[in-house]
Amino acid sequence: MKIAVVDDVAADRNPIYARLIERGIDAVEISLNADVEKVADDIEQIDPDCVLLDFVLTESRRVRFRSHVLARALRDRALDGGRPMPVVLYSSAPKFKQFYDTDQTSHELYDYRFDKEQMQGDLDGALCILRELRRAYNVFIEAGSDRAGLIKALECPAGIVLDNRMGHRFAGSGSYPVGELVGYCVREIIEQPHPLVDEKLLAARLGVELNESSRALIAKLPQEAVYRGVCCRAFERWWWQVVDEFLFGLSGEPFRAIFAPERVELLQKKLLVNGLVAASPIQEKYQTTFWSVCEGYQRPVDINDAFVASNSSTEAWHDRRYLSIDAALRGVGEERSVFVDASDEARFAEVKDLLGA
Amino acid sequence: MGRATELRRLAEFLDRRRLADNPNELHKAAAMILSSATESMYSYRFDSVFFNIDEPRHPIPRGVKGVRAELRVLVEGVLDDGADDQFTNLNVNIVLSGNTTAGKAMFSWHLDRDDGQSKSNELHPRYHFQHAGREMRAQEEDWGLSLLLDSPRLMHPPLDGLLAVDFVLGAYLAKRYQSECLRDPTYVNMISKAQRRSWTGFAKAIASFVDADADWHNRCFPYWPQTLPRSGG
Repeated sequence: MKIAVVDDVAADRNPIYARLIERGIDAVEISLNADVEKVADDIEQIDPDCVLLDFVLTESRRVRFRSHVLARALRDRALDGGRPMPVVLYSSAPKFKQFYDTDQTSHELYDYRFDKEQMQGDLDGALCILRELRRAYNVFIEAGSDRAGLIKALECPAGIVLDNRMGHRFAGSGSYPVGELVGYCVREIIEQPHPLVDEKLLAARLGVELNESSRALIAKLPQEAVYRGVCCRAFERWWWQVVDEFLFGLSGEPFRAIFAPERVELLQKKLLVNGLVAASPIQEKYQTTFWSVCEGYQRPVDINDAFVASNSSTEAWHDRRYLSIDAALRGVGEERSVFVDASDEARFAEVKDLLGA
Repeated sequence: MGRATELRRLAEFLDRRRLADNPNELHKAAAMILSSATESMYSYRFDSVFFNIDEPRHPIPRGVKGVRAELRVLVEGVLDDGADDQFTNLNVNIVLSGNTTAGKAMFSWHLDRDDGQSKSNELHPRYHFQHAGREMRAQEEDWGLSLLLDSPRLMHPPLDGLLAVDFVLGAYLAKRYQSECLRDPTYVNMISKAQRRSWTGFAKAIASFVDADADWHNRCFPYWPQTLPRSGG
């Protein structure tokens, strides 16, 4: 795999670059140049599988543009017939917070973003994501970059009817930039709750603590529930509709209404998995009819004990994200810019006023 | 208009008017109909549709804040608008919750379809409302001096997803229900159609109480089990 690395830190002082080389990755350092088009030329010339782009390129004072300008230039070249390639941002958490989170107009330019520290901590995982992004580009180049191609690339199991609003923006005639479709897949489908769920949300809805036994339980879910579409090797996900039907078949009633200890008892009995531990609530008095994950504590929560979180998607066909009442009152999550969403602010104000927080 | 389309239209209405939080669940239910319907049957379920009750009337406990109702619905029905009983399984749960300085306050209502197989002796109208239920079990130490027994099952017309939403709006968001829902012809048409479909058989069964033929009690009794046969038919 060939990766073009654009960073204002020279390669010999860049630990991530060094580790990529150690892993046998064909990482190519791109020299910074004041002319953004020249940098884009250099990238195109080496024809990489993907571009790893440092966020704040201006610190060395060698250039006057931020990564957005270069990313836009690369996207434009793909629109003009160049080879589309994944553009992935990497930077430190404080820089993301200061410059990226506050500039949402730029988000769609990137296929993914890595925190440099996390990337170093799990380089294999990061490389898997980069490979899968490249593969996703290839899939859309072959399958067609429109809504039909998007639905096909998701490899949705038979019997699932996807919301007709999903990918609606790609439903017009003609094809769309491949980068937009891949970015949409990652940001709006893989990283959001519903129609896919990640392991943490799945465990919460099963009512179990995540451990070896719960992973054995998850392995016993129907195979059709496992997401096998684009980027599936990098992101473990499950089709909630398939899991939901399966659980309904086991229990004869919606799982939402069943308390966690009863869910565990039922799952152990029906699926012959031992050692499951019912998830415990954030506060003793909270219901264990868990249906979401508190964005503050990252623990299972019943939606009745939570407010809508500000990091919920704006797409109506996603499930909301939630912040437990306790986390909201204590400001847990604020350091990650997670607050109570404006749509639930009035109720939060009432509760906050009542509880004197 | 098919049942899936009706649910989507209702979701759009609730969303547009900001009457409920999470109306997307109705879109998911619509997708469930499309993926599960056979020639004669359909089913769907949804939960986590929330209605904020901004002005709760006569609340107990008095200082409760942030009151809302969660609606959970399960419908299994027949695709025959002429059938007297439109459902084979029905479950509507309305879970009320609010916050107090002593913790969360809760209550719930549920509407069931009784298939006549219950072994308990209590009267089970085919469609009945009952308060409390499993949602309240976690609160079992927190009822103060209230005395709760297995509550009577109160006869009520069946509620599908649309009618359940209408019920919650009418019961708990009464002002907005009167001023926004009942003045919107699209909403009224949609609910009225669901009522005709779901309630005609129920109304006929109840009305058979005044019939004079010998079979009236067989038609009436499942829905209204308090009725007793009359001597001479």
